[in-house]
Amino acid sequence: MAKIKTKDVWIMGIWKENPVVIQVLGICSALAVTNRMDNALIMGAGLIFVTAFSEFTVSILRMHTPKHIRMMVQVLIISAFVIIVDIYLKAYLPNASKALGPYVGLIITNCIIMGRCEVFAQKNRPAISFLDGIFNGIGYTLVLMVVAFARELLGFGTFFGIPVMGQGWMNWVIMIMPPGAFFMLALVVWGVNTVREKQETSESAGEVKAR
Amino acid sequence: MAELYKKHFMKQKMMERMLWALAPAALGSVWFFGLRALLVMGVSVLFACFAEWLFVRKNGGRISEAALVTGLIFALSMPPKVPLWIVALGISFGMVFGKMAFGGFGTNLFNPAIAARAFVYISFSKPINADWTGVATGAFGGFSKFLGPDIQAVSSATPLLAFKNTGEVFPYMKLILGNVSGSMGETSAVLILIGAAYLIKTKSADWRLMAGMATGFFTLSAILSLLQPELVANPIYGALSGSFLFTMVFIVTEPISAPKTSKGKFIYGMLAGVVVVIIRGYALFTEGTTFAILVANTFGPLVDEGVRHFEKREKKVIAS
Repeated sequence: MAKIKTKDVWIMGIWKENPVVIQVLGICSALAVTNRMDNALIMGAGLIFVTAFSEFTVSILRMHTPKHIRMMVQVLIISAFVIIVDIYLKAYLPNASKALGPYVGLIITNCIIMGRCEVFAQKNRPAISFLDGIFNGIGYTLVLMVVAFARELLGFGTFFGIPVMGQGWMNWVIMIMPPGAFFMLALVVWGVNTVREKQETSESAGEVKAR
Repeated sequence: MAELYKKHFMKQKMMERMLWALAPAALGSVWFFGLRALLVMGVSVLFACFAEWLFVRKNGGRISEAALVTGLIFALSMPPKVPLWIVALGISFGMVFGKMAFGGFGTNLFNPAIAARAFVYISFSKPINADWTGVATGAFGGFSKFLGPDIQAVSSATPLLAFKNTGEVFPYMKLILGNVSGSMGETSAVLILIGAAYLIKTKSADWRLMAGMATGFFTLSAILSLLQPELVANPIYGALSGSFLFTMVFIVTEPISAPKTSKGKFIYGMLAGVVVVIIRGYALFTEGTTFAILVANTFGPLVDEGVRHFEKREKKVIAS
């Protein structure tokens, strides 16, 4: 198997195979916690932590895990890290923990982590798996932040809780409600894919010319 | 001007007839609420065409005249005092997410005007549900005024709000002629029915859809108004107040989101009518037509599927 370079890992995680926009994973939490930017940021940070360390651990144990029970092992590893995040939030950021509600515990069901463990960490060395986890987490967080930025700005007229839209601003109630998340996420996916398509066609056109 | 129009718009006879049918209600809205109604219609139609143009311009396609109809219907479903930016935003949203995202004219699952209305109805509840305008008075009605007088008593501003909040009932004559406050095009029963007669006579709208919606609405509200008269208005009052007639004539009849089989059309209409009664009587919202149409749109293709399935089975039974 060809050696994977660090550069590839971050381009893949953030742009080319972005877990949310391209692979459409982790949508549930992307819809649920994006009504405010601070929620989205904490959720993203939690996910980066869990993905990175789970992939790291899975990768270390990959030679010693029997193939037929590897999924159970992965779930055990992931849940251990999720519990750490949950306890940490409860202790140091009780308000955020309340605002996120069950979604912290539900990080374990986030397909991104399981997917990366299965696809990447099972086949690669620990150090690069750790990086892969971080960059996939960042890719997820970036999308969440964009969606949350638009939803909070339109729905509450604020940016990280600071009012920015002035006195006459009328809140778009639909943006705070779940339907608003669907529309915003769809717009983001739409936008990113349009840009990517253009990029790809110009790339392939360049190749043809080079020949 | 005519050249320019020809270059950018498809000619669609049915949609042109739809525009003629909407004309009485549109003129009525100016007469009742003032010249601002024209401004609202203008903004709505302009942005509807612009939103569609953004999507069709790449392939050199032309804007369907359905966009004009959608813009006009959306404008007529707004209250007269609605801020213009809400109109522009709402109709752009409706066109993009209700129509163009599904592939443009002919393939939309939801009625774009209703998608637009649901969006603003939920988002901006104060300007849409609480800022009503009274009827303009004087020899020239609204044609000599920019906007009718403001209404202070919000809880009894429109026939539906009055019934829901105070149990008060407006005189029937006023409801038939339309000089009560409400959304721009929905108030006058007479003007809407003129449009309906024209549509049925020219066969531009299917009478089954209208009949289905009327049947569903009248049957259920007759039963429920006897059981719970404080919650559900009697069928005649219910039909004349709010946007029931407007919806029945101009919105449920939109051919693309409606089923194609004739039995399906009837069932679809009835579903919409029944949901209107339920939402008006038992939900938080005073007016249920918007959501009723959305619900019916959702089940439209399924109704068609079901009808075709049963018709096939019947044929088989007869053949054997």
